[in-house]
Amino acid sequence: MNYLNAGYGLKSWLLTLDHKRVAWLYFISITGFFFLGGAAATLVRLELITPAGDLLSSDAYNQMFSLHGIVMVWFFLIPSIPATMGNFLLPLMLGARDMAFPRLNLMSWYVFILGGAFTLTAVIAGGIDTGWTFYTPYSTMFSNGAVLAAATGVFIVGFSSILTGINFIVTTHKMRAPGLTWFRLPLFVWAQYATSLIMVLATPVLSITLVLLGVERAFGIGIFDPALGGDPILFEHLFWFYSHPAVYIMLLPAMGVVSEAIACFAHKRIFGYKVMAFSILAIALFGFLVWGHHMFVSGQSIYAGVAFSLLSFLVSVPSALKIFNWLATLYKGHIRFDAPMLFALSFIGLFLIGGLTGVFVATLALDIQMHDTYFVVAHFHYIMVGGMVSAYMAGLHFWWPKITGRLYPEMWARVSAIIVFAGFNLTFFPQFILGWAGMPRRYHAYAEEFQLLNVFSSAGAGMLAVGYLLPLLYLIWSLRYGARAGGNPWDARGLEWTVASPPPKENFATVPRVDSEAYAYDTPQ
Amino acid sequence: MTRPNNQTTVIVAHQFETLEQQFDADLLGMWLFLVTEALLFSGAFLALAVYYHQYYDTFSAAARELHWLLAGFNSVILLTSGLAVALAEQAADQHRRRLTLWWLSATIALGVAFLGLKGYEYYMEYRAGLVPFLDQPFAFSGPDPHNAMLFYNFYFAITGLHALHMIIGLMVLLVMLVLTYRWREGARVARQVRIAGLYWAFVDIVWVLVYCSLYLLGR
Amino acid sequence: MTDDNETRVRHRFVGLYVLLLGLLGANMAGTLIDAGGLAIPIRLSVAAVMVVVIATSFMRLRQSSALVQVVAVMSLLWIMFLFVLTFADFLTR
Repeated sequence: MNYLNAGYGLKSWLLTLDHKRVAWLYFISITGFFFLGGAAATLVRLELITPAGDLLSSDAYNQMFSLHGIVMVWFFLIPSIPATMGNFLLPLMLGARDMAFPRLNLMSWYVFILGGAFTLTAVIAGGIDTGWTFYTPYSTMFSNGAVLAAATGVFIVGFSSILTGINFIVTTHKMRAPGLTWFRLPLFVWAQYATSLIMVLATPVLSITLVLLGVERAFGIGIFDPALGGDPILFEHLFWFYSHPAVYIMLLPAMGVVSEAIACFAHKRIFGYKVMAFSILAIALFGFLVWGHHMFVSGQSIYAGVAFSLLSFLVSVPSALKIFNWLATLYKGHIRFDAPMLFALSFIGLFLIGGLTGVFVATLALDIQMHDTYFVVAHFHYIMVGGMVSAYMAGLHFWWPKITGRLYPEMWARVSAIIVFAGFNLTFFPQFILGWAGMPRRYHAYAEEFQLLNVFSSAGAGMLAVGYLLPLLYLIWSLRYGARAGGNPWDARGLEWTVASPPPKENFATVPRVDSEAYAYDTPQ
Repeated sequence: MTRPNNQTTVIVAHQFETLEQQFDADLLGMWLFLVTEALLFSGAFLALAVYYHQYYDTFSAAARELHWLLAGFNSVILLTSGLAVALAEQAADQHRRRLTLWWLSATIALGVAFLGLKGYEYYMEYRAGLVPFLDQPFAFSGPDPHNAMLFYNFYFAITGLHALHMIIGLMVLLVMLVLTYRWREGARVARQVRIAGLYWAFVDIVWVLVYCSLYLLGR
Repeated sequence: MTDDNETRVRHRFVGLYVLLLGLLGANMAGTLIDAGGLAIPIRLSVAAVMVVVIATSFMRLRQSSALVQVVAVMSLLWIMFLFVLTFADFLTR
């Protein structure tokens, strides 16, 4: 008897209060959003094969990159790891029977779907062409798209992440098994905890910003309207107060996943555990103090720009500490190159490039040149796709045996990891060069001399599509035909590996007692 | 959490070990929710503060048109309802059902009175032509009517958002009234009333800041 | 809890309620006096005292666990980040 065969029928899934089933609801819905956003990206890259704007009109192109950004950021990247693996694993890692608020957990999925419905409506009802940032006054006064529906969707989905965040924080504080002290927690839990803090502290500011934007657009209650003396840059401040920390909502869980995978496949205790835990919290904190680096050319005060630039460099310190600690964990480890490890190693390499180029664009003077070019596009895709999506794939493969009770086909998974890594670099590395040479983002036509690199980039996007479609096929295949996995196929440590795969409905028959740290790889389990 | 299950097992939700753990979790959850509410309002207050900084003279002329005495009386009503809910919490703690019902009803009545007066205030502003949206004529006679519009936009947006929270709070209190009326389990009702009371007190706090920043700062 | 204690707590709430009304009245009366540049800081401080009274007593923050107190203080800290860094821009333009 496990959570999968504890009940059958649609109702047993749609009304479930089991955190593991809620995780599945999220898995399925965000996979849908991922491929929708991917389809929009495909059209963008197809258009950019030729310098002339021939495949899509400029309006259609604007709608495609907006759709891509909105769906990927708000409906895939932000919920991704917390809502799926976080939901599934947090109670298991804490030795708890469920989340603190199971009903709230299910409700947050319904809220998520409601938000998604609004955004899809917006797409169908006439497209959104504001980009994912909804900058005023374009979004309030000039855009002809269905801005209101899209912003409402994003507003609603914000509630979903607030509810998830509250649930995770309370669960981590109040539901730990006896003996599971804070410094015995897996880093994955630390990462979920810090992410939840950001969700709780930042998302409400986005909500009010979108409310103000909504009333301005819907009723003409001007708040940012320059005709009344309103200031569109105020919108940018409020927007980035959320949206910069949101980068760490995407990234911190990824770091948690990578820590688990690296420790397991190097079969070693994670190096510098406390430094890792505190650097997660430090990144979450510093992430709130740097939002102005998105606004260097917006007309904000030069002094504020200098302060934001300096504060931005702070983030690189804990980030670099984490990279060094992962490398030190690998040193003299018994490394196995299973697919989760390949994805995790891709994360380290790609995140490193993304992070270092982040220092470039955080530099006030240099950013004046780089702003709104493909350099920025390449930088944040290295963080979000190269970093976060690689870690998502690492986690998905790592815990797949636990979640489904089946092993995925290892050879295909390694092939997919390698295709994704190669395809990703082919897509986005040329964009650094394009941006450096001055190609601006968000145009459907470009100068002739940029064509060769754009063709490379589009070819890489094709490879990426193959790399991401492969897992969709073989993971579904493995649900039925994969070999049965034991409770602990990777010889990993941690409470989630002490229960059967798939876990029983109540997780633990008796509340476990914990008397060792999460990474006791030097002792046999 | 280390304690074995005792006689309270019947009413503890399945994911918890003890009622105490459940109550601690609920309380922490409510406080975290209030943090999100505080940050929600702080975004609007930040925007208001920025414009006060830029257009202080116009904003203060516009603020003088508001009915500050009426709203001050309304503040008294809301503060009284805050006292009433605190006394309801205390009565529930003492497991005194009738007294709890009485104070909860008083809280709700005062809350409804507040909303009624607020509605009347909106109506007077509508009559005076101070509603700068929905194609209403704007009859502000002071200097700089464009920037004054900005002030009234904030006035309606922020007080409207507060009123929305009042309505949500009233619905929560109504649920508490029903739960107190049924009185299934004394300890449980006391805790539910306390958590609901937190939300009502928070709505009070927001009003104190709304009143100060919209009605008094410009005077 | 004894009946005595109960009355004491009730009296405390009523006393604080009267204090809140007094502060509200003082803030309103203050608008009749021309306090010049001090007017805004004074009005905001009085409102802040009212907020602190409601939070510590009516929301029982003083009797709450350290964790809940940290959560409450955290919200203030983050609101401060929002205001300070945004005004870092608007005050230096």
